[in-house]
Amino acid sequence: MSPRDRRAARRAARPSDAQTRELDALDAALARGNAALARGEAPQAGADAELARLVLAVREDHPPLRPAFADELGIRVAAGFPRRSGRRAPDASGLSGRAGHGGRLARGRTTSGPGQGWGARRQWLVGLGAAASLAVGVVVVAGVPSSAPSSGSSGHARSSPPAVGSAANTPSGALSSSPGGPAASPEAPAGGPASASSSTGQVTAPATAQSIAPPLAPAPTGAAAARAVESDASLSLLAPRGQVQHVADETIAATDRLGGVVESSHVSVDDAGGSQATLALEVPSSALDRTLAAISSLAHVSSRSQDTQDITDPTGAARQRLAESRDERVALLRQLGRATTPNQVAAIHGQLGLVDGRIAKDQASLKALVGRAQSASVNVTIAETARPGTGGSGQAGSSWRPGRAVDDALGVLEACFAVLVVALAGLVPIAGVAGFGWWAARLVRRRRRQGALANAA
Amino acid sequence: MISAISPPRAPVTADAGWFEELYRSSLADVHAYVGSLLRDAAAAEDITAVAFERAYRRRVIFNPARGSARAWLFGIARNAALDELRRRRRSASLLGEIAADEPAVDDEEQRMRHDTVRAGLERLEPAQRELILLKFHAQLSNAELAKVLGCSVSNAGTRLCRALERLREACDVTA
Repeated sequence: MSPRDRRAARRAARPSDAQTRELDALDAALARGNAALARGEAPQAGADAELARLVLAVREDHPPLRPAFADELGIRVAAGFPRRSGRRAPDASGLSGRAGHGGRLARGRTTSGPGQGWGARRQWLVGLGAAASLAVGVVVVAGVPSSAPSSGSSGHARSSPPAVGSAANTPSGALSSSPGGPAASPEAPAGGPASASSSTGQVTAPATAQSIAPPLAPAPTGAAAARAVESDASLSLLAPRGQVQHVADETIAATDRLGGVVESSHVSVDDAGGSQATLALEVPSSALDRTLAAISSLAHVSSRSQDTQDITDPTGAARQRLAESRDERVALLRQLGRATTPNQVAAIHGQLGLVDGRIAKDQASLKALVGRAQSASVNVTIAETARPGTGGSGQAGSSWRPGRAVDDALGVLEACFAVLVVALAGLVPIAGVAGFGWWAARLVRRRRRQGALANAA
Repeated sequence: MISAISPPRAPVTADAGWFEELYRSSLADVHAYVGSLLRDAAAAEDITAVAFERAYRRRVIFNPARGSARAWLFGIARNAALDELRRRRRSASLLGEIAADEPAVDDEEQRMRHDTVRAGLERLEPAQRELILLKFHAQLSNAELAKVLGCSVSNAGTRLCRALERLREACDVTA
């Protein structure tokens, strides 16, 4: 429709002057009709007498209002439409008072009242709509954390590969092969054919290893159960003044207790408050979480980060190369058994030497990979807390200062804002779906009413 | 003309005084409108009661700035009546069940006029008939009619004029 057509349509929909005069006359006739009805007299003759008679005739043509019905309804209005016990709200159920005011129930009709069926359906629809909205919200909210970068107590989570989740699923974070699959033990000697064929096995995590999911690692999945994951972590501790050495000793003791080793340590003590210790630990992957928990309990943790890297593919490749080398060695040994001339024997021995060397290299490579998966490196830095008033952030600086209070307040506001954003991320789609459902239901209801009017013709 | 009911503009309290006043001033018209629309005395009472009860339950959300209480009440009554029509699927004539509930008319001339008007109403399209009934019984302004019907004010006026014209023609034909 062109703009000209639209303007024409609007003009057509607008009452003309004659129609406006007729509408005014109708309003006047309605007013006179009220007065005439009140007085019980017929409209006088005049220009609009015909219209007034028409108004009166239409207004008088309706079922009479029974005084008993009016009285009873008036009583209910005055009483505030008390709800009947054991029944739903009359608004939804339809006619709560029909039996009392002589409605159809009193006249023997026992079918459900108007609006009752729709009321029940509406409740179902509202329930379904709420459930759908809730489902959408849950999906949206559940999708937010998975797509958002993970964060830990350190506040600086390093990027993790998608298979990082296997670190939590493989209890120790160590190498674990799929059941029944060929897996070579890197410690198996590359002996004769018999030993080569019997050296397959599985390197699995200790069954007793208890894994606590790393805070930075996503939830484990079943498909990632046989992943090899290399883990490392770093901790920064703030020890009270004069306690750096003690905390370092306790850290070493905890590491020993959990089966780890201290690869290097450096402790510098300064009476002026600058004491510091740096420790490089190597702990079994299965004990990484317990080690971190134990060390974290020794002093205030100022930062903590944990990183995992999936090395399943390199490990599998190394294992494959080792298997192929062993197969080649077996084949050479068979050829050696069939060799008839000294030259053939010498040539095969030469090839065997090369293959043995390659096997040793592959074993070393695989062992290194498995070792990376079975152990985790932990770097611990221990510093001394700042003295009160020096601006440091430590346990000793707990005295109240305006700057710190402002920082704390901002931190709280930041956390509240984050929570609000996450809540809105869930609520906005829910509200959108609910709003659309409400709008659609209203539209459908309106059309059905119009349809009912047309059908009733 | 019908006096306007003025509910409190401030937050509507539980005080139902204005509602009782609305009830007293509108009961007869609501019942007449619903009865004319449904042509069933029992259903008219039922729907009238439902309309007032719904209005009472929703009185706290009534906003005087959006229209008069009378228009709001007739909107509720109209929806209740149309819901009843839809529920009953009365494809038969709306005017078929009135025989037992006809108003008592002694005057022969008046009875003939009623018959003529009723036949004229029957000749109208349902939407036009409903518009006539709503206008004549509720006596709403065109703006209030538009609010109830969900159309523009000018559209409501135009439709009303056309319906009135059709009614006159139908009555002339019947007479």
